Parts: sequence; structure tokens; C-alpha cells
Amino acid sequence: MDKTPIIEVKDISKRFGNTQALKKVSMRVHSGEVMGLIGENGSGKSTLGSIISGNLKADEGSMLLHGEKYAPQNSFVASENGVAMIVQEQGTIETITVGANIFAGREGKFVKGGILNRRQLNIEALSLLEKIGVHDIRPEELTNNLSFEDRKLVEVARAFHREPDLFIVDETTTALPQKGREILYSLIKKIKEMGKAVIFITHDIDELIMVCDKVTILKDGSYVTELQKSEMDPSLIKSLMVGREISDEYYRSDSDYDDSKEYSPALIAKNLSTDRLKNVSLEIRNGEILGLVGLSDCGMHELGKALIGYYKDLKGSVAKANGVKITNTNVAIKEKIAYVSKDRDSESLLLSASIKNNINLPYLDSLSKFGFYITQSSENKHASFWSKKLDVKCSHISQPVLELSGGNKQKVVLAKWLGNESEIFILDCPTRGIDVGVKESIYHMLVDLKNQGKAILMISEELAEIIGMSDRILTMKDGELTHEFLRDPDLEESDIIKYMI
Amino acid sequence: MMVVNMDIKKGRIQSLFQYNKSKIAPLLGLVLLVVFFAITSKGKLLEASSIENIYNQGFPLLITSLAFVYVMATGNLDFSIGANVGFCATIACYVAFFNTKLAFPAALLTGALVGLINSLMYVFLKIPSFIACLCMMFILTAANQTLTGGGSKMVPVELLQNDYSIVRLVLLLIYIIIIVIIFHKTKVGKQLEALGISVEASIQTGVNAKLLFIVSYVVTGVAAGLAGYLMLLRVGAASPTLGSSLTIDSIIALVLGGMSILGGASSSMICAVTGSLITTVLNSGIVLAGMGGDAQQLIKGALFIIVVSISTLRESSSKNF
Amino acid sequence: MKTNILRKESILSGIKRVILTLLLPILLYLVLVLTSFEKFGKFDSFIMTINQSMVNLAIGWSMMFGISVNLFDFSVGSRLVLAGLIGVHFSQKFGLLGLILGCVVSSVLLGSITGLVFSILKVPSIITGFAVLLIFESLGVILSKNMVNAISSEHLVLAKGFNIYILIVLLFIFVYIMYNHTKFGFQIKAIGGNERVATSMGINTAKLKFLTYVLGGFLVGFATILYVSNAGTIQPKDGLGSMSIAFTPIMGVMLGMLIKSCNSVVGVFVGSWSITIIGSVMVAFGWESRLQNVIVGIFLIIVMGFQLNRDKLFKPITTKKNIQTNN
Repeated sequence: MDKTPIIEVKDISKRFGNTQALKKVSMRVHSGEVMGLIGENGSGKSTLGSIISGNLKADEGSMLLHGEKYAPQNSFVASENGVAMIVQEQGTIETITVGANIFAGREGKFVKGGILNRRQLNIEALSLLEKIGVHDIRPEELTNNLSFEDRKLVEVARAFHREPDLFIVDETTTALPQKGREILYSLIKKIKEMGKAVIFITHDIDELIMVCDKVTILKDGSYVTELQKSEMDPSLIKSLMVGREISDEYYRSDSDYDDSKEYSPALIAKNLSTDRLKNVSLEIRNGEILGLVGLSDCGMHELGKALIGYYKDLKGSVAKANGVKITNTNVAIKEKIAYVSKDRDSESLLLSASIKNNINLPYLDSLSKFGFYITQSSENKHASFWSKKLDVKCSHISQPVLELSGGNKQKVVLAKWLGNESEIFILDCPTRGIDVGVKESIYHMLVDLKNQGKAILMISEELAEIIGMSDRILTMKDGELTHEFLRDPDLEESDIIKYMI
Repeated sequence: MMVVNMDIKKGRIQSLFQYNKSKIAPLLGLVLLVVFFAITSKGKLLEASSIENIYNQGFPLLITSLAFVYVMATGNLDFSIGANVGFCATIACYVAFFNTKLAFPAALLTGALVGLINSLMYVFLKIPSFIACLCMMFILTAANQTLTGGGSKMVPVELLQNDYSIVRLVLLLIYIIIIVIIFHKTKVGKQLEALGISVEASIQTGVNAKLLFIVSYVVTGVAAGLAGYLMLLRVGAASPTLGSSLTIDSIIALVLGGMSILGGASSSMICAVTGSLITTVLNSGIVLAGMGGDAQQLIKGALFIIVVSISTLRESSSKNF
Repeated sequence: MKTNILRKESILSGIKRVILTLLLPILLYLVLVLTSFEKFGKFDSFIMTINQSMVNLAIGWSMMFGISVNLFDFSVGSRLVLAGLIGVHFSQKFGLLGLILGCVVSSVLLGSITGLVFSILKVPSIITGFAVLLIFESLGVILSKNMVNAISSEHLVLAKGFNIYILIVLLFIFVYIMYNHTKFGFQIKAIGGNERVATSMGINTAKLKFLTYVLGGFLVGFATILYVSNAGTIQPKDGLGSMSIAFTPIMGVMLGMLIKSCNSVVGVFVGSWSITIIGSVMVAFGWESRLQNVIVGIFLIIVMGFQLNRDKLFKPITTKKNIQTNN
């Protein structure tokens, strides 16, 4: 047996509501090693990184750091134990200096007799920045004056200040541009030479092979295998990441693109550009389910919002087939466009409001008598009709939505839009965090809507779902549409992945 | 169809208790308060003159707190409402010297304009709403002091010739009917409530957030105009401090009436009615029971802190389940 | 150690900064001199405007820490009155020491109580401020009935002659160090910049917020001493009357924090001073001094509106109210 690993993860499991994000995953990282962690979206790789770095807590399983029991309460405790992670959620504080950011929460070491030695703090901050290979950021500078990219490097310096024994880099969320990327690579090399360890989370196979000594592959929250550097082969890794069986009856029963039907356009977007989107044009058609798939940071979620006029600084145009320009969310809803956000709890629902008020909110105009007066009975009738129709499991329509399960919450969102007589549905990850039963009923509903001639855009990170449900599939990468597929029984996930990464 | 209706009725009674606890508790509190002061004042509280006194003292608070629900529902507050009442009264007083008929519309217009400016500062200049309203409050207070010369300014006698109590009752009733219907029976109220819960989700569901924020502040402004005019008629003179306590009293009334300071789903006109009754009974009761007026503020403040901390504790304990 | 690697400010840019900082009050004072030269042309009257801003400055510094972490508390005035009453009461028994200790100790206590109520209620600080203000004002009225509220003349020395400068300079040094050269100061600036990030960086936000109340109380204690020594008497106020004590200082603080060319502690001095001069300008123009708040209020709204919209990175002070989209 070789020496004790820096970190040993044993049978870690984690659930989010009804989704099993990790199932008994184990892993060991030794000193001087760069361990890659790779898998599809939703494979649990970022969740695992977050658990090790103390940002999340595991439901089951244990961890050993240098052979001793390790269960960090939060990311701060983890970093005090020598485990650091760069996460997007942390960020920097813009109104204070770079030096103050690097040592925020740890100013104590510069205090003597109650007085904080600013000079010493700045000197140490500077030498830290130099150490990670950054030479053009000054510690006295206000963080506000730095570019986004430089701020990320300040975060790297902050994470590096205690010279962590284990450094976790989540490439899927940091989105470092080229300059930062090179600094990161050389940093990883340096850490490795110092006999410490790195966990490198990515979805870019080429990068993985270049940087890592070993790789752990995850799929649907389960451990697949561990490969040594010599075994790493792009196509092998790809097949290990994807290879899963799909139960057919779960999705639509028909399997071919029906080109005998005429699909009239419902919503036409031309040359959409924002800071995340690059010149995107697409058409959503009546009687058709359009699938949009890509990695989570490819810009597809932004595209969904852009289609309902959410962004003020959007370039390009979105128009309904009848010629009405969708310039803001208000017009979009009046034009019977429904949008279901990926972030259901904070963007699609009024959590503390009742089921009734949630369902009725967009439909209030139509419930009004004489143009303004809304009676209690008309409210109740509308809300209870649609909540019954979608079989929302609740004690009463006055029940606050926050008491419902994830699946039932999503049913309330859909009831809201069906009740508003929506004609165009833009659904961003409609089945995220929802158990199988409700998932199935949502799929059935989508087919029903399609058959009624409604237009549907389904944005999803789950390939199986996109292939199973869509008439047409668009792939997206780095803010651009890269390919269009038509429904085909022979279409494989690996065919699509090529256009995503 | 019958079955559905039965279902709704049965459920409505159930839900009345289940989801309206925060509105029923204040009603019980009000009853207890009345009983308490009826006993300690040896029945004086229930005499006709006391009840008339409560009505006379309580109506401005009822007016402003009903309107305050509009702003508080969205999670904002209007700190300028009290100063606005006094300012509108003074403007009405000045206008009445030119034309007594124009005094009332002038008060309403002034109030609405102040509310509009408040909301524009918030919505378009993006100044945090409470800072905008605080600045407005100090501007109005200072302007009002200047206009009244620091003392009181008598209204022209002609203005007082109408039968005041009938005018007041009619205006009050019209106002209450309109403001309650708009809040509970039109989309305006429901959308304001939605904004208080989540601005993001409301916008994505087609709520015109900016317009509604403006509406909410204009409503409190108009209410300040109405309250200012009616107080002017009752007192017979404009003064620098007229109505100034109404800001804090409205906030206290709504909180005592069971509404959350953060707005949202607990918003209701009932809160304003119960709350302003509690506050007014408390004010009169303390005096009638001979407890000394000095302690009035103290008791109000203490009660406020107790009620808010109970609801905070309840919320945080229910989150654990 | 490589100490010279840190950038040093050149003397020229230092001078430029000082000029930029003092631009506002100097310009305002020039207006004053132009309107009435015989009255304000003398150096004495220049010094007088500084003197007049001292009490507001001390109150302003006490509120600066709270405002840095987005705590707005209008109970300061009521706490000042109450602490003043207690201080005056003790000055009768224990002389000058009684005044100082009475004011400071009671003010620290009142500040801590407010901080405690804030952490229990979990509602916006401004609401907490109003709630305790009602109680403190009322207590002041009740207490003053059994207490003498005038201070005997031998105890007014602190506001006389050079004493006031010594006191203000000592306060300045204390506040400057607390704000710029302590862990506490560093951490409250971090919280003020972004509370969520600061918490995730391991800063104890709740504890620090409470501490700003305690420190604020300590400084209000000194402001109280100046206030009482200046006026020679302390009058209880009710019906929110004490709020006006906090208004001018708060304006000074907010104005001071907008001055980017200097440290906030100096900024608050410049802000408070500027507002005092505005008041004098109005008197010189023959306007009623009561209108001062109107002008200052409008002035502040314009400055803030400009600041907030110049760099379009608008960050709401309360996290909930974010209306960034295009309805």
C-alpha cells in the first residue's frame, strides 16, 4: 500500500430534493497528483467538489484529510484546513482594495496592539500575487477598477494564500479567459511540484488530458471508473461519460421527424446578441417541440430569457408571427408567450403566495369583470380548475406554494401558463429536480400541447430528454448555435455532444 | 359543478383559519385592549363622547394606513407620508384664501405630486426608496415650517362653513370603498402583493413593476392630501407639526394589525383597519385610564417591538420544519 | 524585506487630492463671502463656520460606521437627549467627570440596547431606529420631570476655547484609526461592499453590525458632551422631535462618503462643514434658515442621483428591491 492520500472520499451520497446527485462515490488523491473529475452536466462532479470544499454537506459517507476525519462546516473552515476551491458564487468585494479582499476575514495576523498594519498586509498580498504569477495587479488598487478576469485572479490568490494542500478548480463555473487559464495551468504545475494535490473539474476533454495525471469519471452521480494518464483517450472518456441506456416509453412514442406536416412559424428571433449571445437566429414553430441543448454556461439559458424581452441591452429582434415585436416581458405575456425559468423557486414562483395567486397572476386581466373588478369566485374557479387539471397535490388552493414538493411546484408554474391560454412555451429545464412520476406527466403534457398546435422550445442540459422529446434539436456552444438535427431514431447522444464541446 | 362549489366553500372556511392566523390574532388583541381599558378607565372608554373622540383622532390614521398598505405590500415604505399630510394641509390653507372650492383638489394634487416625485426618484434615479422618502420628508417638513412661519396659520372662515362632519363622513366612505376595492378586487392589489414577494418572478409573469411602484407612491400621496384636507377642516389651522406623527403611526398600525414589514402575502386592508383601531384605542385608553400621556410613546414603541419579535420568532421556528 | 515595492503617492497628486477634497466647502464659502463681505470676509468668521459644524461632525462620525454597513438609525437624536439628561444629572453630583462618564457610559448602553433590538427584530435598521426612538424619547420626557436639565456654567469648559479643538482632534484620531487601521474597520468596509461575499469569506456579519451600534453609542456619548456644553442645557423632545438632531449629520455623512478624493473620515468633516456653510449662505441671502433642509435635501438627491447613475452598476442598499429589467 502506498502512502496516505491527501484526501480520501468514501461512499459520499447527496440528494437534492428528489434528485440523487451523488451515489456512494469514492475517490483518493495523493500528494503531487492532479486528479481530473469529468462527467456530463448533472453527473455530480461539481457537487463532489463543493462537498470537499465545505460549500455543501454530504448526506452520507465520510472523508479523510491526511488520514484524519474531515467534515468541514463551511468553506471557511475547509480553507483553514488547507482545502481551497475557486467558486463563482464567492466573488470579490468591489468597494475595497485588492489586498483587503485577499485577506478579508483573516486580517487578524496583521494586527499588533489593536492596530492593523496595512503596509504589511499589502506587502504580503503583493508577494502572494507575484507567487501565483500575476505581476500587474496592485494590492492598493480598488477591486472595482479591475477587469472581471483580474478579479478572478484575485480570488485565486485569496484561495492560495494559505498554500492549500488541496486545491479544487471548478472549470465549469469559473469560466476563466485565456490569460487566467495559463496562470491557472502554471499554478497547478507549481502546486504539484510542491507535493500538494489538485482536483480539476472540467468538461473539456482535451484540457483534462493535458493537465491531469489521473481522471475520475462520473455518470448520473455514480462513480464509473478511474483512468491513469496512459489510459486517457478522448473517445474512451467520451463513451464512459455518456454510455447509458434510455427507456423509450418514457418519452414520445413516435420516433421520426414528420415532414408531411406543415409547421407555421410562431416566434421568430433574428440576430440576437448580448454579452453572452452571439448573433443567434431561430424560429419556434407551431405544433413542434424544438430542443435546445448545450453546456450550462453556453448561453442557452440567456437565450430563453432574451426571447421574452427580458434584457434591456439586447441587440436584434424577437417577433411573434403576427408581427408584434417582443420588447419586454409585459408584451411577451400579453402575446401569450409562457416562460418557465430554470431557477423555478426564485424566478417563476411567488413562493410565499398561495397556489391560487400564483396561477391567477398573469390572467388577472381576463378574470376582471367590467375591465377591472375581480370576484373571489372567478379567482377560485380559474385556479381550482387548472390545479385540478394538472393534478397539483395540495390541501387547498390557498396553500402557500412553498409547502409543495418540487414536482408540484412545477405543476403550479405550468398551470399558470396553461391557464393564461399560452400559445408559445419557452421551458428552461422544465424537469430539473423533479421526480420520475411528475416528469413523465410533464412529457405527456408537452406532447398534448404539440398536438394542439402549440409551439414549444425546450431548453435542457439532459441529452436523453432532448433526443426523446424534440422534433428539431439545436445545439449551442459559446453563445452560438452550432448545428440543427431533425428527429431521428438513430440519433445518438455522442453525435450531439460533438457540437456542444 | 355543485360538488366543486361545495368543495370551494368548505375549503374556504378551513383556509380562513389556516392561513389567516396573522389577521385574527390582532382582532383578538383589539378586543382585549378594549376590555382592558374599559375596565381601567371605569367604563369611560365606552361612553359616547370617548367613542366620538376615538373617531375624531383615528380617521387620519385610518386614511394613511390604508394607503400605506399599497406601499408596504411591495416591501417599500413611505417615510414622507406624515410630512406630506401637513404640507398638503398648508397648501390647501393657502389656496383657500383664493378660492375655497379649489382647496380640496389642491390638497389631493399636491399629495399626488409628492408621491409621484418619490416614486420617480426610486424607479428612475434608482435612489433607494427609503432615502428618497426621507429626503422628501425633511424637505416637506422644512417647507411646511417656512410656509406656516413656524406657528399656526388659520384657515379662512368661509372654508369652515360647510357641515364638516357630513363632508368628512362622505369623503371617508368614498375613499374607503375605492381604496379597498382597488386593493382586493382588481389586479393592482394582487400585483403589488406579488412584487413584495418577488420582483423577479413578478416581472417574468408580466407585472409592470415600474408602473406599479409609481402607483403605490401616488396612492399614499393622494391619501396624504385627503387626510391633510380633513385635518385642516377639523383643526381650523395649518401648523408645522400637523400630521407629522402619521408616518410612524401608520407603520405601527400595520404591524400591530398583522402585516409584515416586508410586505407580500400578508398584505391586507383588514390590517390597516384593525391596526389603526388598536393604535387609536391605545392612545385614548392610556389618557382615559389616567396612565399619563408621557408613557404613550413608550407603550407604543414597546408593543411594536414585542409584536415584531414574536412574528420574527414564529417565522424562524416555522422555517425549521 | 522589499518595502519599497509598494506604490508611493507623489507630492503633486497629494496636493491635487487635498484641493479636490476642499473644493466644495471653499467654493461654498466663496459664495458666502461674495454675498456679504463685511460679515464673512474675516478669518474669524471662516473659523466660526468650522466651529459651528463640530457637534454635527461628532454625531456624523458616530453614524458613519453604521452607515458603512448600510444601517440607518434615526434614534441617534433620542439617545443623545437621554444620555445628555443623565450626564447633566451626574454632573451635579460628580462635576465634570460625572458629565463625561454619565454621557459616555449611558450612551454606550443605549447604543448596545438599540443594537440588541436590531438583532432580535431582524427588520430594517431604520424601523428598529424608529421603535427605540419612541421609547427613548418617552423616557427622556419622563426622566426630565425629576431632573434638572441645565448644566452649571463651570462644567461648560469643554466647549470653550481650545478645549473643543482638542476634543475633536482626539475624536478624529480615534475614528480615523478605528476606520482605517483596525481589523474592525477593514471588516465593516468589506460588509458594506458586499454583505453576502463578506459572510462567505468568514466575516461574522451579525456580530460586527452589533459592534457598530456599540461603537456608535460610544461616539454619540462624546457628541452629547459637546452638544450639552454648547447649549448649556438639554431639552427632552417627543413626537419624533429628536429626529431632526440626526438629520443634518446624516446629510453630512452621506455627502462626505460621496467625496471620492479623500478618506471617508475626512469626508464626513468636509461634508458636515459644507452643510454648515450652506446654512450660513441661506441666512446671508436673507432666506429663512428653516429652508436649509429643503436645499440640503434637494442637493443630496441630485448628488446621489448623479452618483448612482453615472456608473450604471447600481447596487440597491436593500437586497430585495432590484428593478433592473426593462418593464
